This record gives sequence, C-alpha cells and structure tokens, in this order.
Amino acid sequence: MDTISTLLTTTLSALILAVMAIEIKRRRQKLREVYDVLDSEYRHVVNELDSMVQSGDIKPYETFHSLHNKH
Amino acid sequence: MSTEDTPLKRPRKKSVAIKPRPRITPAAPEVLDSIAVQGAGSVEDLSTLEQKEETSRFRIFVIDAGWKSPAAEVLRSNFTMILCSLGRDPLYVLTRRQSQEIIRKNPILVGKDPIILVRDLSGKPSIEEDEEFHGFHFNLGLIHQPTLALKHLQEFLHFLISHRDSPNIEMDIRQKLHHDGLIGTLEVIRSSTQEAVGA
Repeated sequence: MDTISTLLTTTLSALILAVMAIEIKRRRQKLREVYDVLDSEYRHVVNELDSMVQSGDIKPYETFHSLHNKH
Repeated sequence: MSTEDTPLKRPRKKSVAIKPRPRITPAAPEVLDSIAVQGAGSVEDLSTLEQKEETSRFRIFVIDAGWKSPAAEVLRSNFTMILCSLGRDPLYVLTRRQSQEIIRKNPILVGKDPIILVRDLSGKPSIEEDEEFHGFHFNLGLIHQPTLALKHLQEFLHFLISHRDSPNIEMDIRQKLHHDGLIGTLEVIRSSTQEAVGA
C-alpha cells in the first residue's frame, strides 16, 4: 500500500514538474517572439527602412510642443 | 460734476517688458509633458515634420498597417506616452501605406504589426559577407489581450530607457525580456501565477 502511494505521489509530482517545464518553455518562446533581436531574417526590412530614411520618405516625428518652442 | 466735463481718460497702456526668448534645451523631459496632439484615431493621422537628428544611440521605427486589433488600439491610444518616453531618440512613424508596403515585401512581418523596431546604431561594424544588424523589435501584434499588450509595452519602454547606455543590449534582452536563466524562470512562474489568479 505504501509502495503504491509513493509511486502515485512520485508520478504525479513528475507530471506536475513536466507540465510546469512545458509551460515555462512555451511562455519563454512567446516572449522571444514578442521581443526579438534583429537577425539575418530582418536584413531586407532594415535595408528598406534605412533607405527610406536616407531618401527622405520618412522623417523623424516631432511633437507640436517641441515645434512651438522653436518659434 | 458731469461726466462731460471730465476729460476722457484713455486706458493707460500697460508697459510690456520685452522678455528674451527662452533658450531651447534639447530633449528636456518637461517639454514633452504637454503634447498638443491628442485623440488621434491612428498613428498615421499625426503629421511628421523635419527635425534635426541628434546624435543618439537608437533609431526607432513604428510599423502599423492599420489592423483594428486590441494591441493596435493600445499602441495608438498610448502614443503620446510613447513619445514622452522616447525623448532623445528619433522616432520614425511609417504611414499606413508605407507599413503595408513593407509588410507586403517582407511576409515575415505579417501578423506581427504594430511593430516597434529599434535600430541600435552603436553596434559593431558590419561583417563582409553576413552583415549584422544590431537592434531589436517589439511585435505588439502577437499579443491579443489589451491589458497584456499595455503591460508589455510599458515593459519595453522601461527597458529602452533603462538600458540606453548598455554595452551589450542583446544580452540584456535575453536576461530581462526573454527571462533566461534561473531568475528569469522564477519571473516566468511569478507572472504565470499572477495571470492565473487574475492580478
């Protein structure tokens, strides 16, 4: 009887730990997707953004207040 | 004594002292406290004007194609707060059309916008064959709950401000944002418990 209860407790603990490990891994993976570093996959994106800045297609955003202070 | 006898008194002109123009201090945080543009429906509606680009570490881009998602609404409604947080770094806001065009050319971005992409200009020089692009990006579109989107946005801005002078920001991202390591594991467990409880 004691053996069965020990076995059951051990199995349940292992299951809980396994579920926790899977959940932690899943959340970390989600965080890596949400906050990601720029790598070779984003090369074309970065190139395009840089060319847009250089050609003047996009310009730095300026608030109304900072403009008002200049005049 | 009638009123006709008394000479008309002209109101005395108040002497106005000519005050010298205040010197414009660059990127003073108090200046950004009152931003006149409010209630904008989308990021695209806000006008962009020319600004002398100061020497700064980051170049920040906002890519927003215009999806009506909870995360996108969080970004648009808190845009003034984002501006307040990013004092020194130039912020480039792509129009809806520009964002759609860049997403169309780069399918990897589909479903991830609105995206805040940060270019780290202080990275290492490019390697000959495989050019390294230093920076990171925040894919707000992957978050579906508004409260979680706001929380992540605040975390991202906090990270950006507090690690502005970090020598290795990518390592900091892995530790602080990705929650790698033992302390990160405990942080993941803590946040999971909070979400489960509903705090």
